Order: sequence, then C-alpha cells, then structure tokens
Amino acid sequence: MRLLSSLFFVLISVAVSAQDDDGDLKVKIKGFADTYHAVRTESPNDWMSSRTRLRGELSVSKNNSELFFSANAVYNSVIPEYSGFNIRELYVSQQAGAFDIRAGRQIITWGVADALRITDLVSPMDYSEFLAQDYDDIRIPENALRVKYAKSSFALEAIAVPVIETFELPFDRKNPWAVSVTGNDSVLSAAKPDFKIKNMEFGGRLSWFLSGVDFSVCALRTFNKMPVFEMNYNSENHKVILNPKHKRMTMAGCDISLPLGKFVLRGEFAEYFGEAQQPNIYSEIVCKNTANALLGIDIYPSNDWNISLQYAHKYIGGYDNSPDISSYRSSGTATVRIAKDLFRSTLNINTFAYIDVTDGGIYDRTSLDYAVNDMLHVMLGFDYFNADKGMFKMYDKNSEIWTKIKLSF
Amino acid sequence: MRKILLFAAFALAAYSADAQNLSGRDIIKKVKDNPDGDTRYAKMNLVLEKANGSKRERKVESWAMDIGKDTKTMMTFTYPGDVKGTGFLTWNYDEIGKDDDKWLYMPALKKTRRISGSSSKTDYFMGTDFTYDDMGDRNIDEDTHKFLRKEKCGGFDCYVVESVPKDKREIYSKKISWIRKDCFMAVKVEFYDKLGKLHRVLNVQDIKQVQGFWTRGKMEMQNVQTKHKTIITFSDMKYNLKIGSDMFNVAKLEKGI
Repeated sequence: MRLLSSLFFVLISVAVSAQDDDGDLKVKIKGFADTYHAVRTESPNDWMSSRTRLRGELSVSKNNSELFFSANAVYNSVIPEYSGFNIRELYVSQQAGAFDIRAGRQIITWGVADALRITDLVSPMDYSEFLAQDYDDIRIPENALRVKYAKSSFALEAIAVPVIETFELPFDRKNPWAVSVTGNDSVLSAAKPDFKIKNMEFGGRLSWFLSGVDFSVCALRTFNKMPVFEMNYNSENHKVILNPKHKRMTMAGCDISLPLGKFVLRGEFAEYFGEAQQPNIYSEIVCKNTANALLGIDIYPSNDWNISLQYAHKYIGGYDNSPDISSYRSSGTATVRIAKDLFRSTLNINTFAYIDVTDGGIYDRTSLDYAVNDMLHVMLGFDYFNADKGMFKMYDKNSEIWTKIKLSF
Repeated sequence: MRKILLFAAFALAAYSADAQNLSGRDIIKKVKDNPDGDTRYAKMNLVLEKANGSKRERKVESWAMDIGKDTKTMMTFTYPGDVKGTGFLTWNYDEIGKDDDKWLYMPALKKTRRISGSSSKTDYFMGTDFTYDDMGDRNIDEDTHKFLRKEKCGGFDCYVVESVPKDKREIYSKKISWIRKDCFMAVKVEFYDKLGKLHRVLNVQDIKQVQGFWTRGKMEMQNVQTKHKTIITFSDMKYNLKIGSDMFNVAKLEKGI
C-alpha cells in the first residue's frame, strides 16, 4: 500500500518536473478531501459511517497521448478494513484522428438512465455502503480496452474486458449496510468467473447525436455482475448458506434522449438473454430471457429548478415454467429527483428517491449543499428508508442523518 | 458564447453610416454581422461579487465555430475544483423557434446528459448576472428594434437603440444599447424588468483589435436592484483557429479539448 501511495506522489513529481523541461507536456491535477459522518436516527443511534478521504486525480498528456490516474486515500473508523490507499482509475489513451484508444482500469458508462441500470452494465456497483454514497463513488472501474471512433454526429465504441469485476457486497455484520438475503444467513466467499479467455466481457455501442435527438444501440456479452445466491440450510449452525454465482448472459439494447421544449424524454430498453434468476432455497439457478425498460422525463421549469422522474420495469420471460424462481415475474422501480439552486447557486437543495414499486418500499436521500467559498462545501443530509418487504427491507432501520465537509482543488 | 464575443462586437471601422439612414434593426444587424472569424477561442475569468464585497470566481475555456448562421460552442470549466472538467456543448441555431441542442458532461459521473435547449435561456448562468440567453446567440428578429438617438457614451459616439422582445416570456421588458458608431460594438446595455424598472446594466471595457477583429477585454454586468455584479475578463483570445466541426461532438466534450 505504501508502495502505491509513494508511486502516486512520485508520478506527480515526475510529471510536474517534466512539465518544466518540456512545455508541450500538460499536467492537470485535481481532487478533493472530504470527511463524512452519519448517525442512525433510530435506536441504538450508532455511527453508520465515519470516514475521511483524499481523492487525487492526475492527467499527464502530450500531443495525443494521455495518462490518467485517480486514487483514494481513506481512513474509515467504522469499518477499518475499508481504510487504505486504492487506485480507482489508471489508464493510458491515444488519439489518432477520429480514433481514441484507452487501455487500463477505467469506468465505462452507457445509457441515458440516471442511477438505474438497463444498458449500463459494464462498470459494476460498490454497495459497501449501499446507495448512501455519492453515485460517482459507487461505480467500480474495470481493466478494459476501449476503442472509440467518433465523428461529428455519431460514435462507435468497442470494449473488451479480460477479467470482469463484480458487485461489491458487504456481508460482514459489523457493517450496518451488510447484505442479508434471508435475515439469518452466512455467505461463502464470493466467486468470480474463472480467469479464462472464454469468460472475457466484450461488446459495442453505436451512438448518434443529431439535432433534436440522441439514440444508441448496444450489445454486451457479459455476466450477471450482481450475484444470485444458491441457498442451502446448514443444520449445524442453523443458518442459510449463500453461495454467490455469476452466469454468462448477453445484453442487446438501445436508448434515446429526446428534448421537447422544457422537457427531455429519456428511454432505454434491453433484452437480457439467459440472465440468472435468484432461486428459492434448495433450488437450482435457472437462466431466463428478461425484458428491461426505462422511461424517464427531465423537467426544466426554469428558476434553477430541476425535476427528473424515471420508471424502470423488468419482465421475466418463461416464468410459468420455473416455480423455483424467487423473483417476481414483473417488477418495477421508480426514481424521483427534485433539485433547486438558491442564492446564486451557493445553496443546492436536492432530494432523490428510489421507490420499490413492486413491494412498496422507499429510500430517499435529501441534502443541503452550501458553498462556503470557491473550494469549500458543507453538506447536511437525511437518508430515509421505509419498507415492509422488498429490496429496502433489510435497511428499514438504517435511516440516518449525515454531514459532509468537502474541499475541492 | 458567440454573443459574448459579438456583444461588444467587431467592426468595420470604415463603415460609418449615418443613423438617419439606419433603422434600429439595421444597427443591431451590423452588430451581429460584424466579422469575428470562423472559429474563436478565449479564456474567461468570471468574478461574482456580492453587495458586501465578497467574491467567488469561475474560470472557463471556450471554443466556437460558425457553420453558416449557426454556431457550435464548447465550454469547459477549469476552476473551481468542484466543477473543473464540467463541459457544455451547444449547437446554437439562428432559426427562430428552433431549440438549441445542448449537452452537459459531468466528469464525476463520467457521463454526458442531453439537456433542454430552450428552458434555461432565462436562467442565470452558474450564479452570474448573465442569463444563458445573454451567453448565447440571439436572432435579431426575436426583438423589435427602434433607433432612439445619437449620444456619447464612455467617450465614444454611439447609436442608442431600444430592443423589445417579441416573446413575452423573456425576463426583461426592453433593453437599451449604446452601440459605438466606429465599430458597431455595444459599450453599454441597460436591461429593464417586467415592471419597466432598470434591472441590470452591462458595461464593456478594454475594446481592442485582436488579429484584426474588434474584441472586448472586459464586461461588467451589474444587477442594480440587488447590487450583485459579475465581471468577465477575456484573455488568450484567438480567431480563425484550424479546427474542424468534428471537434464539436460529444466524444470531444467527454475527453476535453
């Protein structure tokens, strides 16, 4: 770890000194330091999170070549295992005419949805604190090769990922965001797909950016990066043993953005061929074709208001033939975002809610973000969970208030 | 952005027409038609100053290219840190009623979002005293122009023109512009609110020629009702750069220029 952090600072020093020697070399450094603390609003009113972080981003470029490096140095008091230095992105890129080739650890985002994933399946999610992190912290970079060919009105993107990353799920009960499928379970170590060339992830996306409309088509040979769990009962410790599994699947999809006056309509559709489904206890995992669709609308009513509504629906095909699937045949998730800038953009009020339409649960994150000056922001927020069943049930007691102080440079 | 560079305008010094032969529309058209190169680049430093003297700062790099009567613009924030790398791509259309195409790149999310091209025109740009419409390129026939008089302003002989928006949803009821006779650049603009009260005043300073194009170096917009003001200082201005229209696409917005 020390070696990595030393490397980071050596890279910066070398880059800065190189700039002095050669004016063509461009060095850009940015980042932030933040400290975030959250306390549960229900008994036992324990600290849900207490961490301080330094994020550094370094870009070194000359002519059409670039090195990009971003890393976190974190001290986490609640979950010390999360303390340390970790690389987020580290890649090199080369531009040649309309081609842009990028190789290394990088975040790849597809689609037009906001915080929901229909076609955006490449970079998985870090749920170590569920969704109670900034959304940009939740995306996990992958070691990938990305080749993009872009002209004025269209872009063609091809990607290849030798070894896939999967969702980061916390199972340690010390973590208040620990995942539990049955409420009384223990988990076998997460197993990634074998490191074999046949398990590579690959795909492409063709996008058009036209006057009055954007649209894309895409396809991806991938895995269910959010695992499904084989479940068996252990009579010795009286617990359900969860065995996480990732299965091969293929996604074919499309998306569209359509500005209409003060509105922007967004839509995504994807068919997942052979998506693994969560089985009932003692049952085998079965794979089904699923249809996944999202419709969203962004509303710009002026006066610095911003409203966004989304609804995503999943439908499992061939459901009647598979009584061992524990998921619903049809399920829906909605999101609502309302934001307003006040006092010449020095104060931002924002609320973002995930609504489990199928089971009636809700998770809402409301925050106030005040810019003390150009560099310093102070934030205060409230995370609210309410669910009797469904995806938010396990966090029903996790409502919290939080504060964050962030200095950007 | 084009309007920012045009607002003060660029001129045909030899073109000293007499106001008696020019209508208000003719004068504003000469402002708009002033040559500004096919492509442009500038660094902008924006200082936002409250009535109590406290200041905030924004820094932006901007590229623009004319394609016929339309303009493509790319803007990237370089300061402060929390918005550094944020980019706007705008395809601005001269045709009345046709919404601009706009994209916003958010570096933290590694994502580009299509945003409304029409709604934000009357909103203030990033907390400044300039609206998005002030920062954009406005078709001259979106307003009715009337020549008022000739008078000196800032030591220059000027035409004074009143412009009344045809669309009643605009945030101002009229604006009065002082246009320099020698170069058809506005040196002062007064914006009046819906009640007819003076709302904002723009003063343009440090007007000079760069590569043969008249260019303004500094603009100060003050909201006289709140006493808040925004000062934009231009630097490193360049015209007729060798860049193609392929530069103004979403892939470039995401990569940064």
